[in-house]
Amino acid sequence: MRFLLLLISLFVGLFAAASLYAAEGECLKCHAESSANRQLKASAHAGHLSCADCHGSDHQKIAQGESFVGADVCGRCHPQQLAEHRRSRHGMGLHAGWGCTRNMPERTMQECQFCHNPGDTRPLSTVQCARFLKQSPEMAQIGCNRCHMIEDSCASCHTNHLTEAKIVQDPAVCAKCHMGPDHPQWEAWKTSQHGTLYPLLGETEAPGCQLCHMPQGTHDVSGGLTAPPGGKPYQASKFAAQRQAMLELCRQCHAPSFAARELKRADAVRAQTLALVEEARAIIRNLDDHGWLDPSPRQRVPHPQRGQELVLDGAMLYEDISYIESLFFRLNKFAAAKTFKGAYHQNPDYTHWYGNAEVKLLLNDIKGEARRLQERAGQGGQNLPTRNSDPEQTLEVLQRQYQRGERDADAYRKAKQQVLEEILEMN
Amino acid sequence: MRNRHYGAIFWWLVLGLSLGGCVGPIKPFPALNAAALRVQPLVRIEQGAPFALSADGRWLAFAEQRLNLRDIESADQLELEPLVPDAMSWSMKNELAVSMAQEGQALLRLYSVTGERLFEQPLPGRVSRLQWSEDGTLTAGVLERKTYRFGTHLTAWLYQWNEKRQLKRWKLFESTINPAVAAQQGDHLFRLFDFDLSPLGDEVLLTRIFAPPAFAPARRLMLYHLATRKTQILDELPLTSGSARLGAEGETLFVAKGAGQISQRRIWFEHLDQQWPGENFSFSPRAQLLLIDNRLYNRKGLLLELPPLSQPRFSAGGRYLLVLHADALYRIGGYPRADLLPFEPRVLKKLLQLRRLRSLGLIEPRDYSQARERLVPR
Repeated sequence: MRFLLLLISLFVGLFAAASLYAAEGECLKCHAESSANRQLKASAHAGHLSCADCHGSDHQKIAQGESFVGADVCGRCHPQQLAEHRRSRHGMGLHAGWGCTRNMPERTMQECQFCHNPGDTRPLSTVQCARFLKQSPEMAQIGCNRCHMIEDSCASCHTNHLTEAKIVQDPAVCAKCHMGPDHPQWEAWKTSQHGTLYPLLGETEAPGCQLCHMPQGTHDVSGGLTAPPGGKPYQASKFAAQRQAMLELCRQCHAPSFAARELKRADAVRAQTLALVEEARAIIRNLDDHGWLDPSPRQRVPHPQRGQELVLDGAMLYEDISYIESLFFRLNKFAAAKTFKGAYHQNPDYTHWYGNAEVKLLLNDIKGEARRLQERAGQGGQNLPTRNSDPEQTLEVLQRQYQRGERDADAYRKAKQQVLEEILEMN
Repeated sequence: MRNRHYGAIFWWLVLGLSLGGCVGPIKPFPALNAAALRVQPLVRIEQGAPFALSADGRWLAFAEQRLNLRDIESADQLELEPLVPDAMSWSMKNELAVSMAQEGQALLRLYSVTGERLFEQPLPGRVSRLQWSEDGTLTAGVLERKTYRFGTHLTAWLYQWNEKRQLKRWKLFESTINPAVAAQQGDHLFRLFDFDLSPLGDEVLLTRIFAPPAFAPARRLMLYHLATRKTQILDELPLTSGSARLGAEGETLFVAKGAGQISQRRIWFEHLDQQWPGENFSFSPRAQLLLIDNRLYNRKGLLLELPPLSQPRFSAGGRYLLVLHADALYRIGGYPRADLLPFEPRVLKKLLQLRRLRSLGLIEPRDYSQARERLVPR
């Protein structure tokens, strides 16, 4: 009996090996010398996976680039890592990535499959990036998707065929996307005390990105973060739990009170910075309420998601906007981000000179430009009028003020009634 | 030899009888319960053949394999097109707009009553409906489709030509429907897209086809403001049954959902104003008459009941009814109407402004209703 079982196992093993060999053989006829094959052979997948296991066997599809190896393919053998990735900020990368296919310049199968499973019109993720929608296909591919594809691509960090852990344990792997003027996490860390010591003494003496943001190898990179993208902190209950998780990590090297105090200081810097951003935003909204932006949102190419509306939030564009809005974009997206990314990564120069000083200088420029626009409209030095001569514009302003909480429901209703009366009485 | 002779006689008899059936006198229309009505038999016609009567009641367009134009006074008839159109409609000035499917696209043609071609325009897709406005504007609803492996992508357009034939167009919606629904509907898909231009000309009621893989297919009833391009979802209709039309002045909505009830309500409000039993209906905004199955209503109530199984249709403007009964068409006129008077320009301008503000969400439907009451007291 035992012999029979041994014989069956041997046959099954031989059959599996033969199948693998056959499948491999088919691809290797042409791809034996490829770097993909060289890397696969040197990886932990060697001998366990054939090309077809991940890529499928439809060569035409593969050649046309329609056989994308998504995270689900890796998740067949690595379900825990996939689950962690899916619930993390990386797993919702498309929130800042792709737009609806009907806004895409070329509606091809490849484009569709990035957001939809074949045959399913439900998008894989909520899609909401106006800046992506303004891009050329080439620019969108290199400038947007190479980072935001992480939602569905393990290869973003792990590379396509290599499996060595040291690749993904190096902070450099994060730098591809987490750098630059909009969120210089890598530079802020690299030029901080942590980043200086790390290459000299290693992770036992100073943390790299992974130690704090992917502790114990988790693929949930959101642990310990206290704010979603954009900087506004999470609600109190979530904030407390997240902060506690980060403090647990800090106390491996630091006194708990020291770590708590430093993070609290960074929280304060963030709150102060957001207040300056809000001040700048209010100035621009007020100009728009009076139709003094040049060009005004009603005179420009419509925003791809919000039309002729003034957009100063996460969907703000850096093109087809007025000069004062471009100043605000730099203040909010670049300088403010540098300030608090610098503060949380313990980098004094990023916090102060690249960040805070730049925020204040840009706010000053915004105030100056606002005065210029006001003067040009003949309102120099005066308080801004509260009413516009066009009833539709007046109603728009009233509605915006109500939505921003600057008017209560009763005041909004009365002001609206007054405009309606004027329309009815007009000749 | 004798047998062959008898055979020939038999076939001559069959032919004679069938021709006699076609050209024999049209049966008189059954007696109606209203005395002042004028009923005139027009022509024999096959069941299901499309037909339309001009505003002055003199010109009849009907299609049996080919499109014909008939002068009712002289009984002269001429062939306009060698095929059956997808849609046709008469203007108030007796111009006939016709749309046919030709070589994968739609061909829109405009004819005078003498059969002269006044205008022609090819359009990508199929025309689902043609509608004339009082001011001579012609509106066409067109559905374009592209088939992919994963489904069929539909794009609905509204084309509009003013009296000088200058064109404007709007993309009303895009919708990807699943392959099963697309295959099931086949060439009838374009009939599922319907529209009705408001009598004020500023808004369009439309049916948006909705059939993604994970949901039951249906049609969403939507209101689209042409200037602001804002859309409001009003209701939902089954995919292949039911219809909706705008009432007089574009303030009310008539909806049939294929369940034996026709309901009337104010567009922006939920509660029903009135309900009637019935399946098919049409509304003549100018004459303020409602036709439900074989019954004609005005604002006060039932005006006229036609024999069962009659298929009545309004002439352009609603002055006449064109009724298909048994195998013939009849023209009925002389019923009382309360033609709607146009708004004063000053009032119309304000109403259009208020409706625009409502579409933008800057005023509430209730604000609009109150303001309208003051402009147009009941």
